[in-house]
Amino acid sequence: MKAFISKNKWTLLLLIAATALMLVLAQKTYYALIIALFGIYAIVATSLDVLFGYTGQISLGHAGLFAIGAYSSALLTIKFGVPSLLSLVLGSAITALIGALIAIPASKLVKHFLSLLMIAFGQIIYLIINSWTEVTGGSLGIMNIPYLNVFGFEVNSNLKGAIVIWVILAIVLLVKHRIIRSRVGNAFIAIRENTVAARGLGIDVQKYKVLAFAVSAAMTGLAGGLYAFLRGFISPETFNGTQSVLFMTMLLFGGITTLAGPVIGAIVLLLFKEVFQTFSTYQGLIYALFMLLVLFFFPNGIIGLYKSGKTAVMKLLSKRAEATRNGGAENAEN
Amino acid sequence: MLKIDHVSMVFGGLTANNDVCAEVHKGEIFGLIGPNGAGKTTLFNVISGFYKPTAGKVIFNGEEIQGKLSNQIAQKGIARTYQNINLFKKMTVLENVLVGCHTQTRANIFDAIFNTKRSRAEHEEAIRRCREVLEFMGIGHLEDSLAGSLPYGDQRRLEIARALVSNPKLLLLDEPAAGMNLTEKDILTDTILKIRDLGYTVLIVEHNMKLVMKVCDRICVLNHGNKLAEGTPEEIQNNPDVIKAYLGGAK
Repeated sequence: MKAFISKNKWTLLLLIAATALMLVLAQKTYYALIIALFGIYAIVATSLDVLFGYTGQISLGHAGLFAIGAYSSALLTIKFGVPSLLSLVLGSAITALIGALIAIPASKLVKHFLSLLMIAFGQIIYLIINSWTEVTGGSLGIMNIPYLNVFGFEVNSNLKGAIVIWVILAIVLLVKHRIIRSRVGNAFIAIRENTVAARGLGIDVQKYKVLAFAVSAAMTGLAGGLYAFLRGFISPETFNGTQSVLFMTMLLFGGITTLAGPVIGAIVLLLFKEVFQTFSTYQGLIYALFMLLVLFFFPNGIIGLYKSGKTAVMKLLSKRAEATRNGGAENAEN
Repeated sequence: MLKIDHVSMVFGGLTANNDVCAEVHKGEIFGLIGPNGAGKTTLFNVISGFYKPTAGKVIFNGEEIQGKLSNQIAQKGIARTYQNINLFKKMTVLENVLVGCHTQTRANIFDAIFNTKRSRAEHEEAIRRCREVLEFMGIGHLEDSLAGSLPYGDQRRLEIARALVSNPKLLLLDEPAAGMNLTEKDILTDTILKIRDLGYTVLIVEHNMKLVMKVCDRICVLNHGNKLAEGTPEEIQNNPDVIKAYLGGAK
């Protein structure tokens, strides 16, 4: 523990400072909402990292899964009177199940075929929630979704929402960390790195791809449910194709296969989206620019940039130290 | 232990294996040799489940395994290396070998999420075994290096380690000495003999005759997909058909 703290002291300090800053800002209800949304989108970007970063399966249809989580949680509570916390869990489970079902055919596809299928999946879900008016309210959506109730603690303000969501994000990150360094995570990475060799070592490739989809869908569904309870209102426009692209941009911009990358990516992209709200027509264009920026200049995202920067500084410092030492030696000889 | 029973493998108009029969006994090193294009690697791919044979049976410990998926065959205890190295390049040496433990470990997604005692114990045991095997292969000091950054010879050794860690009943080595220098080849020869002495059964495809003649208990020679001869290294070296196939027609 002590070693962990001293090794990561700057990261920890930064985390504490960020938490404090967010708590201060969250006193304003609009800021609290944004901070809560940071958490929700960070969960989605994290879930995409499990699927894309670690297992190498691309998905441009996660908005569909996000929608399934949001609508199923909201409908369970409104139409069937299920307690909101249970709805949240069930919504996540339903999303995981649907994610696994779509993954059974999808896991046989690779690269652009898979991404086409997932785009189609996202569109199908979008069309269903738009047209199945009796259940989903069509384009008007669902209003008056009750507050989330966590064992008697009613999440009736954006501030409370932000706190609950960030706690859940921390749990999601812990779960992701544990999965990745386990036997299952090793199988995921092995599939990404070399499918043939993975199969030759006894890994049931299809089973693990389906599992990765299910895990990712469960997390995204959870985020969807949180979104529904936080906003109290959902409509199809939140779940369109652009949203799927946004999720992917968040992940790529932040940096894949890291814990902090997707979180940072989610915060930066969402901030950008809020600040430039007036340009919402050009959203797609802006995401595309972000993605090109990442692909051309820092393929490992912000985290990759930070890491290579750190290595460069270390190198410079050690070089300088060596120069001083050599200089000192020369002086001594003279 | 492994019986190749009249196996034929045809790709379109090309017959890569034609009615090949061979039997590998427990505890021996069985060599598969032949000129380029003789169908050695094809036969390997049939045994390890990458190809489904056009005809014939592959019987492993009394069970027909031809046409099964390669991951199912790995689960039954056949591990292999590849002619063209197939490592997980962006994983460390230790992680590569850990993936090799896949068939020997059980932890599922829930064990991972709840970090159960059982899975932690299993993980520690797996790491201990991996280090032991890496040490045995002489690459223990490299465990934190990325597999893709290793020199060629070490990559070959890592592939053997990754296959060996699963405690296979049958180990298939596909040209393990390819690209190695003389010293590395000598070390490899010793290692393969040591692997046999540990009780493993080895089936090896190799072009380096010095190595093959030194390590193999029995050898099968393929030529143009057909089995040409089978016997001890001495018998093979003195077999006129084999000499003819390798050196061209004797006058």
